[in-house]
Amino acid sequence: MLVGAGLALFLVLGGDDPAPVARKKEPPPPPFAFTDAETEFIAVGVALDKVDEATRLQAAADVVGVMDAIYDAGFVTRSRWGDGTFPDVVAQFDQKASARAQENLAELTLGPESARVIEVTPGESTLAVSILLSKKEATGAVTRASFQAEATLKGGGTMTISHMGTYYLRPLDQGWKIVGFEVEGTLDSASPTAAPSPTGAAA
Amino acid sequence: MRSVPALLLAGLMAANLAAGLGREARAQTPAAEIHRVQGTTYVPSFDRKRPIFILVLGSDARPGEKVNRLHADSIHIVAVNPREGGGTIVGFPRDSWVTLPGRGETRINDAMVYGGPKLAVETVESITNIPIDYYMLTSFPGLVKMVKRVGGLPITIPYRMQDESSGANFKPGKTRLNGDEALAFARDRHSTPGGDFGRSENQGRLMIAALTKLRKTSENGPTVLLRWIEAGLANMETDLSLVEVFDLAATATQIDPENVKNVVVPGAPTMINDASVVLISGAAQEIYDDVRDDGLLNG
Repeated sequence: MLVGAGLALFLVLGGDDPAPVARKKEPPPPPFAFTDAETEFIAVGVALDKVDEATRLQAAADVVGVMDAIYDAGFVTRSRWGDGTFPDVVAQFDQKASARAQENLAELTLGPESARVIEVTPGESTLAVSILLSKKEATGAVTRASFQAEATLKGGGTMTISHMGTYYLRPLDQGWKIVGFEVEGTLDSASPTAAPSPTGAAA
Repeated sequence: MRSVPALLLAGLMAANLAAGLGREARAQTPAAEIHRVQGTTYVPSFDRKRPIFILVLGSDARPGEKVNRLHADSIHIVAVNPREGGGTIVGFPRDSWVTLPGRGETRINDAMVYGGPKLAVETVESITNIPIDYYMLTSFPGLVKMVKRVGGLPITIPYRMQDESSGANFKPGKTRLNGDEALAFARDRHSTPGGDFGRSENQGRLMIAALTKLRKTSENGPTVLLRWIEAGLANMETDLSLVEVFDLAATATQIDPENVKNVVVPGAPTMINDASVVLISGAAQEIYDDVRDDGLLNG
């Protein structure tokens, strides 16, 4: 009977793999991306259907890629925060706008609050993209992003992140870059919930 | 009687830069350690140290006529101060008696007939000593189509307007103009105070109404701005590149209509060579001098 029980346990636990189980390292989470971005094209001086579809799709993919990068590097992936300098965020701006981006990193990213954050879990976020087309190429884009996330803080507690932005982009030699922005965000951090105090004391 | 359509999409009356950094601490909510509200704006810039001056022209060309070789009966300098987020609209009565460079004395609206928008720009520069950066030119049908494409323009009619030749028939108060009504409002010079002076002022009002609508509707999504650009460029001639229009339109969303002053140069009607003309008053020089440095009146 003991033999039977041992055999059953062996089979249940996977007797065909006698090697010791190695501890697998957790894979890093995928970078943040806006899924289901809404994209619209506006053509100037040419009918929209005369603009090559591949050109349109490429422009849309590139613009969405910039927006993904901004929020991933600015809010979600710690390894891209650069100790609060957010180099991958600044890299998404053109030369003139990047100076302003540097000055306004606290508004464009988690900013100094990033030092208190252990992990960020993105919530429901949306992205609307409009791309200006002229003749055979994309000339500019305007995007509207709404980003929600929950951060876990060092020492306990959480922070609710809500960030909205309108971004103006243009295709430059180095690819699509942000040339202007209008952003607003809120960071709400809450202490760990304290145990409820006893109520109903005797009269 | 031919007259002038005022024009233009506010999206295109813009300027550049405009930065506003706003940071505000709000009262803590229960159980909250921090509630930080943050916001900032930076719009594409022409990177100029001085304001932008655009000559906005309305041709009296009708469908099928060459828009840039007929009378410019609506003539406005639109000045935009990038840093202050404001500007000035300076209108000129179309019958203003001026000297056209290389042509001699005549009405200001003849400039485009003799030399297209280029001569109109040179003429206004010579009168005002204000450097014009760009021009925008539209026509009767152009104005009608632009206003139609953006869904009409909410505006406050300043006084009763009833004029058969333009088709204007408006009661004072708030209303929404469709394309044809916008053209009638811009053309009426018979029921406006001072005739052409009042008409020129109303054309400025129309531009401010367009700016107001652009700012309001652009909050609805990123497509709005591009649709305005498309509506504008499809119905006007300009020496702005598409990229510059894109930047200007983005800038326009940062210009507060309350910070845009609308004036018409002072003058008086008179007769010269049996023609009814307007002599611009010497007091206009104060307006030019004031606007030239920063694009703002009394700024």
